[in-house]
Amino acid sequence: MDKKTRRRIAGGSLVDELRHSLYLFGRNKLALIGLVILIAMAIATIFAYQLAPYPSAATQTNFADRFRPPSSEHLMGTDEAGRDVLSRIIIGARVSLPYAFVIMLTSMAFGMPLGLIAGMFGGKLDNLIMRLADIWIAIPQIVFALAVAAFLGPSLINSVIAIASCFWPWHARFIRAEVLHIKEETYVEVAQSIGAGRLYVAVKEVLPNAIIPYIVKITTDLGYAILLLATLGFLGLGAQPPTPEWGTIAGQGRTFLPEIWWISLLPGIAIFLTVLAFNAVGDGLRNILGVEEM
Amino acid sequence: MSLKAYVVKKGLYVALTLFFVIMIIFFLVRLVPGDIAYVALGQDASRAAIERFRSEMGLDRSLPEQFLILLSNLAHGKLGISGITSTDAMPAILYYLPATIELATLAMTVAIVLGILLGVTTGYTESRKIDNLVSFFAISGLSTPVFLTAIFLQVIVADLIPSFPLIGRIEPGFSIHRVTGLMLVDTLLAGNFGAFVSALKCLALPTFTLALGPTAAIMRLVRANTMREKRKSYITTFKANGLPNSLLRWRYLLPNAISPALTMAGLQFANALGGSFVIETIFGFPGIGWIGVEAMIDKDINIIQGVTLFAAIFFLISNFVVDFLHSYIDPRIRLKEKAD
Amino acid sequence: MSETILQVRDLHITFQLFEGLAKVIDGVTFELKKKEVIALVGETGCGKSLTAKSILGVLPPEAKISDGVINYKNQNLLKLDEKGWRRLRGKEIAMVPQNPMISLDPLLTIGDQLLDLINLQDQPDISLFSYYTRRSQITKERDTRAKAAKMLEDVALKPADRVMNSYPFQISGGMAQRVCIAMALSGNPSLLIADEPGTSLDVTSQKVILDLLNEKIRERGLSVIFITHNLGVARQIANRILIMYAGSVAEAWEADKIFREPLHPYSIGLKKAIPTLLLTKMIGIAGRVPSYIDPPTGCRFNTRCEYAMDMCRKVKPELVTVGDGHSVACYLYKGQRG
Repeated sequence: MDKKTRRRIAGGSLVDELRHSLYLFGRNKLALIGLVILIAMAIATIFAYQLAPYPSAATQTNFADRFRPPSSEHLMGTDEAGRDVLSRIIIGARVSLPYAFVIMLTSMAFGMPLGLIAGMFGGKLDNLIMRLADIWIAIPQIVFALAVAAFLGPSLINSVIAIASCFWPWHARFIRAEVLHIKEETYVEVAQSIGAGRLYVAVKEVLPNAIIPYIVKITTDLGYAILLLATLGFLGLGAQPPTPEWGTIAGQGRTFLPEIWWISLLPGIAIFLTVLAFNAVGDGLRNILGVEEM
Repeated sequence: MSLKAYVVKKGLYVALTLFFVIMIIFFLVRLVPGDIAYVALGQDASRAAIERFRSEMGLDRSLPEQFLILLSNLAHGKLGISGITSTDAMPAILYYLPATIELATLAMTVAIVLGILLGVTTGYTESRKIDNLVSFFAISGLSTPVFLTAIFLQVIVADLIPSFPLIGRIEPGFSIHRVTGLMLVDTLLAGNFGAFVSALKCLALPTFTLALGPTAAIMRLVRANTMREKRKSYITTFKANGLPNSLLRWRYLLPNAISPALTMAGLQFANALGGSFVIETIFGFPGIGWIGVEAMIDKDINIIQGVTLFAAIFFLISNFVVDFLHSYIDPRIRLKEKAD
Repeated sequence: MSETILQVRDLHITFQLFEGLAKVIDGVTFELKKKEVIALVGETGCGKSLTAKSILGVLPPEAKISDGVINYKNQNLLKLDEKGWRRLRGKEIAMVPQNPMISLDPLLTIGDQLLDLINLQDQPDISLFSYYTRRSQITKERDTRAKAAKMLEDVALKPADRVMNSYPFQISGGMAQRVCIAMALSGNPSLLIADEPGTSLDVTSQKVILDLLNEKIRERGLSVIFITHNLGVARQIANRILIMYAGSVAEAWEADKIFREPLHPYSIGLKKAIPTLLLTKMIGIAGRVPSYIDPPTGCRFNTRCEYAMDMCRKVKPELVTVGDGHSVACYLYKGQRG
């Protein structure tokens, strides 16, 4: 039922609503599982070298041991250079996760101010920025990122730049929509009528209110960034071996399929779980915060 | 305004956007740090090779000149010399285009139909168990990396059905005369039913992989919309006044639930295009995604440009179709525009 | 003397929420006689809409009828299956909704929607395929298009053809309300439920709509449950008024009489709250509608009642007959049960 009816019947206060929100999140099993996975990933990222059974797997090769299937010694087997796959995956968390954040921050750094300006100032500036965003979006994200990565030369840094460069229009659009929505509210009018400059109003009044739905979007976007990073790595246009980026590991193992499946499949599952976690948590947050489904 | 005027207006908009897209692609290519020639030919290419490359690609002219050359090329239906084929890139791309069109169209059709059906039915019957199941499916579908599904399917199917084709558009042993480039069509035109089935089999896994994400996304949105619309006054009123349930669900509720999802479907198509790059590579499916990746590894500038351009064209056309459908379903959109 | 057409006895409706079970409808009992117009009056949130929806079986999925009986012409509505409902809805019982602009499908023309109703009200559930193949055939056969036009003219919508070809967003609120009335009457029901008709309109349009409704009700001899929060409106249109508070009936009597001499403290408060021409001070009723999850024990009005006694806080007063056709649920008055 809608929020209004519920509030009327339940007749609670703000504190009750907060408890209700937490309860909803907790009841959402998937979101909880997601949260647990994310925490596990965070721990893996920080303590990678302590947790990995073969910490040197990131670089050291051991050709005598290549292609061992999963066993008690190597829980996820070894790859084409004899390195322990499990360790590489754990260490790989240090690549995928932090760099996904970097991608996010970079595209936010470009997209957020542009969206804010477009929304607050409107008129020709708004038109210009939005047309630019529209054109940018016309090139599908993956294609864009692949092309840029191809031209810059395949490497982890370049793939980060490539992906970040195709993300900004979405942030700009989103922030602009939120700004427009909030601009309608009376308190913004009041602030402006008192004489506050538009930029001041933007930062002080509009931004804090736009943050909440933005958080949901960022959570899901992080997952998508990891997917893109892995896709580029898989095709050989992202992080280059021996960097243990999950997609790169999987890509390297592709030639040995289908008998030797653990090199390609297992990092893929790691990606799946991580992105799933981000999406599940984002979904749970969205349910609590009552954000509309995009 | 009439539907025709609406179509024309949108068409012009697409053309204009396309122009700027070309410009962006142009600049993308040229923003490579260092010399493109070295990037393409490798660091230790000979001086002569570099010079030849530069003059062939027109890189020795000024930027505005280069842009004009590109435009005139395009006007003539050319893209420029491809390093891989040593001839103009356009014919190569046009050769591989139908495969991707076939795959993407099939996958999107499946995604839309399945997504809507599942979305409406699960949205209508609200049970806690189905809720959780559907949520899980939807989120999983969105979270699975395309290559994982592809590889997973290949491994599993290779194990269970050893004779099932995992690569290519048609099994070896069939030789089909190319008419449209669409394998399903051409096999039927040739009257070769066995070939048709083979083409279908080869399309099965790639289509499933490509359709997974979009189906999940569409289903999720349609379901949420259905649950929301179901509670609205017009539904309860008509139900109360005796309208049959099936009519209520499919003629009254469905269009209202789909309308907001149409835009998202268009976006999903864009993602699908990107996904086809990986899928075609893994399944050895010779489409523009496949050749695109090859070109990117080999740094064949003009093919990369061409592939990107076509991807954008695809996207703009699909958006155009979505807008058209939108205004067809929702009279408010086309009739209110009169006021503009 | 007319027979009873609808009987609602001790109806209880609950909503299961996180915070707990919301017992919204807490024992509603009333009867509706043939050709009688009763009004359910109460403030927003007292449950009058919910009661009406339960009679038609269109409660939201979160709601559950936990107890009680609803009898329509001696048929227990609560035990009805889909087939049973199909026979009743539209043809015996129909509803005029509250907000007409959102009660019509925005994507279809008025004509399409009206025709659908007329064509299919008496058919068994039809498959989509047969619907599309037989629709134009049915329309032509039974000349339903002309029938639809006549129905619109009947509610003073002229020219009918233009309205039929319009979309809901192209007509005004008043016109939409009339369309909804026409749709409700299309199946020739005996019982009409009018959920605050005209509330979403301006006062002038509202009067027009109410006059129209009155006319149709007398014309067809309908039995009506009229829902409103406006005691004055209720008095104009109803024979009997039932005043509801927080999920149950507080007082019930003939419209004029209850207006002149209300007995229940809530009714008295309502009457006092009606603004008069020589208004010097607005008088309301202190307090707010209680929470349905944790309602006050006993009479739910006791927190706002100036006459509240100990008994009021312990046991909920039943509806007792204190006079001819007059019942009150309050310990201030002694009367017969039932």
